[in-house]
Amino acid sequence: MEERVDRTRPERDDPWPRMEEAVREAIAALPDFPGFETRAFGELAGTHPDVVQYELSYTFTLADSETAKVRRDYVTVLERHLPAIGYTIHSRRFDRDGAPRALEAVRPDGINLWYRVLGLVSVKAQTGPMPRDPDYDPYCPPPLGGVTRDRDAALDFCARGYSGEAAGPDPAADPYEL
Amino acid sequence: MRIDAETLREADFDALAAVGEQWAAFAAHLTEQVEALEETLGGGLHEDNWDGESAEAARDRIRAAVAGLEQRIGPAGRAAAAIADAVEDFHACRDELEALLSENVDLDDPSPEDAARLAAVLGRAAAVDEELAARIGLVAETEPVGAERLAAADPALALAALLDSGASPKAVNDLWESLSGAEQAALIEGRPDLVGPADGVPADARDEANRRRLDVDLQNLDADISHVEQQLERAERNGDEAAAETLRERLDGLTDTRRDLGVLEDRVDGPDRVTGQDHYLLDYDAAGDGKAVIAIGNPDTADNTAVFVPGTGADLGRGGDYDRVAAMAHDAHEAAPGEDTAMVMWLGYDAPDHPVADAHSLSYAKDASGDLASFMGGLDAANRDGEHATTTVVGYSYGSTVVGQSAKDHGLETDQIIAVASPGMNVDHASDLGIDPEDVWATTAPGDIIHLPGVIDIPLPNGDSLGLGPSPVGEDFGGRTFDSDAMSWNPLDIHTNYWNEGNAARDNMAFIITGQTDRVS
Repeated sequence: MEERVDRTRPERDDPWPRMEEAVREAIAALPDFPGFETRAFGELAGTHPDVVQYELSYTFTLADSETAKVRRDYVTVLERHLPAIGYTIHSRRFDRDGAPRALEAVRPDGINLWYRVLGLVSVKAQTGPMPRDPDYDPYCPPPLGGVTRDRDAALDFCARGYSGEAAGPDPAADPYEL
Repeated sequence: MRIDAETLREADFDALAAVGEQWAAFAAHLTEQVEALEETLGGGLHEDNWDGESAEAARDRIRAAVAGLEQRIGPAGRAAAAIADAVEDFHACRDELEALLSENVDLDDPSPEDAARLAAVLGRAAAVDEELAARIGLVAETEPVGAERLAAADPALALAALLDSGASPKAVNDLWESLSGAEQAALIEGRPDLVGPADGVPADARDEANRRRLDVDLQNLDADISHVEQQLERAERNGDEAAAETLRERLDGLTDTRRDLGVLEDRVDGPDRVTGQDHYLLDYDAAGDGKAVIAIGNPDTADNTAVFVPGTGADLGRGGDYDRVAAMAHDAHEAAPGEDTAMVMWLGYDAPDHPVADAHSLSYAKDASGDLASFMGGLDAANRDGEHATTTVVGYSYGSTVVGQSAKDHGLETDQIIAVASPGMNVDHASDLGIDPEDVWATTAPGDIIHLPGVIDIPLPNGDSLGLGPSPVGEDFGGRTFDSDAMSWNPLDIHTNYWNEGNAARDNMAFIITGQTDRVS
């Protein structure tokens, strides 16, 4: 079930930190959060070369993705949590057996959050269409959930590395630390 | 064939040379014809001078004629070169024989040493004769065995001749597999220009060859840019504004190409960090809008391979289509984490520039159809487990028209076809695509501008219309459909929203590509 939501406002200068913030707000409510395995950041083409959308994606490990906690319980938690912090849930999808496949909610600033349950489970944040800034060359916000540098595809997007950290995150960082 | 001394002495190589010269003259004549036709296309028949349906039809005919002539130029030139080489080598053999005879060698009862020298000369003449037969056989496509003989003599020549002859990707793969590892490595190193774009050569070899090409191209571009910058500096210093303007334009073009190829280099650098799969650079061309064929994962060894054909506006310098491919690779990885799915971006054609203004033109699809079919044939030929691997072609927007045209004209080596936001596939029914209609999938989101009649059908005065065929999401088309979301009120935005976060199309495409069609909604 999908409702149309207005995601063309407001202005989205430097969207990446706010996308990270949306994921952070989501996982803050998840009990016994096991951490993520990978992060990706990318562009999606718009109707015009000067228009762009950005997508941030975190993925759980396969082992964690196979647990009922991650596949089902977290969806239930987010259905309560996201509206409580100002998000509008606009899409819920289920498999034919009734198991949750996706939950989507949009923040007042237009950032969309997508909790997706396939073979792997992922948490994604995405902007709406926005003007492409040809000079957009951000530092990567350090990844959430203990993603190690070698599994952080977002680094492909920012040649300058992590913000505030010359050497990137500690690979042995506590995955529970957000 | 064995050649004796008497035959070699009396052979009329001038007659053979004359035949070769006729082939050379024929190739030159064809080249002149092509140049004349291209001049016509760029002059009196140019769009600026003659517009409209008839004009486009006339230009299509001429382009087809040019393509046909160009296909004949290569073989004619190869035949001429093969004969010229043979005549020269035969003459050398005869000169050696005459030198022997001048030493009063007794042909009927030579000494053991003279016999060996005589056998060596006659053996070389026989080898020249065999190589000529093989090269002509390749040109005429009458002697497959010749390819093997030629490959043994000169793998690069054999591959070049095979590609020039328009041989199938399967034939190219057969030739490649007949080479030793050392010969393959030497070809990759010595002739990356041949190996890189060759459909039928395995992905890992193409990737290595294309990366070599890319390195050289980038070095050459850097040198060219530096040279033009120096020329520009001189022109500006001398106050030669006209020359400076020309040089600035040239510098802009070189800089744009350098930027695009630099992005391409970065894109295929290292593995995809989400899936851990390697990137494969299967082809590229910086000319014009640019072309690139990139795979995430090895299509020769993957359990599932999907080939994405982008639509209007696609070009080498625009990253959006690659990002869609990356999104689909990650989606497939999430949908089937236990399987290896390779995702290919096939920007192997000159895509039209505008989603509405160009959407009804078939010329781009016709131009691309043979190349797409060849690429898919190459994947099929190089696949190491073709019986169990599943292949899907995903055509987006005008890319679906390319897919339809290619399937209709040439047949596509694929198990499934997905048409996303299609303006029509230029076939009337799913069964016309050459695969089971149950394996033809299509989606178009509600409100997509591609639904508008003016986009896909241009009304003609006689009540007919100039369109790209029925929509593949129509009930009468005979394929299967899946859900996709609009996610906007703007018809143009809807047309680009299929890979947006949360769009049902993304889950559904991942399920189809990974063979979980029972989960498609």
